[in-house]
Amino acid sequence: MEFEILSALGTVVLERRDDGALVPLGPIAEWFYDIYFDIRGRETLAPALLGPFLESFLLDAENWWTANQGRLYSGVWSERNVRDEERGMEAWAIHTGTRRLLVVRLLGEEHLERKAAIQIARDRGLAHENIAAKNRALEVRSREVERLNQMKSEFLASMSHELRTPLNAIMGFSSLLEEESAGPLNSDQKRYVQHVARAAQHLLDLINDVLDLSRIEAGRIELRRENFRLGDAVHEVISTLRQLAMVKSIALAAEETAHLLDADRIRVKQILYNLLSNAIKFTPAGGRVDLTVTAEDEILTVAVADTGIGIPFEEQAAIFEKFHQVETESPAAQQGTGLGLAIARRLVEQHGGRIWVESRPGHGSRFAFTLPCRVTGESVEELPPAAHATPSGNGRARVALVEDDPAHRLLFEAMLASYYHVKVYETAHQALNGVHLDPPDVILTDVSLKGTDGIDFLRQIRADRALAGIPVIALTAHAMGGDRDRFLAAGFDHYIAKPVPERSVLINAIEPLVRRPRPSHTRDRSHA
Amino acid sequence: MPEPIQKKVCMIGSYGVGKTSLVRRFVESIFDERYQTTIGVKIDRKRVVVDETELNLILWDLAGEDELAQIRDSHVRGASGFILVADGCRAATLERAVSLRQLLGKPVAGIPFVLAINKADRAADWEIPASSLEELARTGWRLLSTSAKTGDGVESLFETLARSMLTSMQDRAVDGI
Repeated sequence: MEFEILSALGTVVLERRDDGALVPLGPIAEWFYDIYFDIRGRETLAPALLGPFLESFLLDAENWWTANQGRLYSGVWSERNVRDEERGMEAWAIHTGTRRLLVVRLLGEEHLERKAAIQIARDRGLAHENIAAKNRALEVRSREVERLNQMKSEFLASMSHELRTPLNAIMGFSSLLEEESAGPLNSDQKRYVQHVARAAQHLLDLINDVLDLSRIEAGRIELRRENFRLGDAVHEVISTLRQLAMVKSIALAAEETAHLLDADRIRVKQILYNLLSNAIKFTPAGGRVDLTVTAEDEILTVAVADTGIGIPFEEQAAIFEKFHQVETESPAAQQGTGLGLAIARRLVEQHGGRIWVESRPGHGSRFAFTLPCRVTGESVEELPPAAHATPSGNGRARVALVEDDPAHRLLFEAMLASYYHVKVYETAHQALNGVHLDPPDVILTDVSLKGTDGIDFLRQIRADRALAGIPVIALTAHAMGGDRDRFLAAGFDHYIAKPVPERSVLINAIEPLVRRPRPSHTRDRSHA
Repeated sequence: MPEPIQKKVCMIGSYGVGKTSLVRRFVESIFDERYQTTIGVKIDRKRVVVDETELNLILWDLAGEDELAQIRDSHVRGASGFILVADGCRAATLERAVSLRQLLGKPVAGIPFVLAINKADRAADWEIPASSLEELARTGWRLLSTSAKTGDGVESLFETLARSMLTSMQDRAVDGI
């Protein structure tokens, strides 16, 4: 009776006889036949007819039955029935002391609930692992990007240094030849030298622009915001470009403006320079270039309008892209690097502004950009007007030049010899000995010297009480962002980036230093 | 035609590595993107012919190992071969497969097995370093890259194991075991 009840509940009970065969106790549920269809119509069942799982379980049960009473659990398993439906089951081998039974139960709702709970737990586990794996992959990629960026920076720094070094000789000697300091040139020679100087300047512009753009795109240019008067920046840029405009008989005018900015002064000047020099370049002789400034709701709009050749509408969006130049017959286009506007756009955007152009071919162009005008009505520290220093007249100052490149030695000596007593050294070691015997008023040293480099040389000068007060100027082709600060932080009194296009750059650096009072012990020694 | 030789084959590995998917691909040529966890054991069958010998493979797909489920010795006992499965995108599953091989110990000692590195369709996301696989191959492990999703390497996986089981059976017959 009890087996009929179990059967009615869907549980199958089989008794193991002494001969090893299994006999159903009570009717066998239909689901069991659906799975083990070979048993239908049989009165006794061989374990092999019950499928591999139960057959295997019965082998375990045989061992267990011989020594135990109670029940042995099979665990859950599933098989497919005749309709290819998956059915979950569990079984017990029971030893009552007198009877050995196999009880098989079809799993129902509770099994599905348990399965669902495990499924959720494992889904979560997989999701966690997936996120962790993605994070690991991102970390790897991030490290790789960082490594590539580092390689790129090192390459750019190296390229900059290697290109600036020969340019220093080309530009410097061109400048000396143009000055005719080594004797007069005939008109052809003058023209040739001017071409060399212009081509060298173009190459330097290109190097500077490429480096600038690379740094901007890599997010490596940090704006150094300060409060300054926009009008002062405009004035400085106009002063630089006035000569270029005069050569082409172009009227260059800028509206007076008293607006104050909280921005990176150097970068704002760079934007202004790029727009104004572009306008002059593409404006025919006799034209005009005007800079105007308007302010509205704390936003400044700076516009540079020209009467130049103009830009076709379809090219107006592209001109802010890298290396894009308007197709024109104008030789002016050949002078540009194709990077000036791309740099201007990125710098404006970095300041939180925007830049655009309005233009019609034959009717000129108007480039405009906006900048947030964060400071109004505050005072700005007045800067003394920039002045070109002139070499001190009485008692020529003594300059020690340390440079291992023969061409650069010759160049700098030639640039300085008319104004100073110049003593030239090829190595830091020679210079250390030399300056002890003949202390100079100022030392100009290359940084990348063979053997003891410029920084070590500086340390040794500073460590020597007799020499410590002598101003030392770094003269170097390391001219990437941060190099200037790095060398000044190392203790140099001034920093000059190569190429040095003309002697005034050296004189402007030397003069304030030789006029500066120095500690008495070094001064005494120098006049001993 | 002689009766096919019946061979019990266990699928072993961490949860979510694709053991059930490999069986379904092999038995039914089906792949389902949804992960359906296995509870306990799933039994499937597939007949294969290897070197003119017909084998009836009884595939014991054992629930993935984790804190919720552990492999019972009884499920592995009597197996003629087993397939260790690791997920190429989860390096920890290879470590688990290697440790499972050691943990199972006696019940699987000396029986043929193949290591399947599954999810070859996502090879770009694989975390398991090639060096780890080369190291295992050097110690004599048979390794195959598989994709239950595309079917790549699946037939070959079971065929390789079936052939090893046959060879092992013949060797044992020669040795009189």
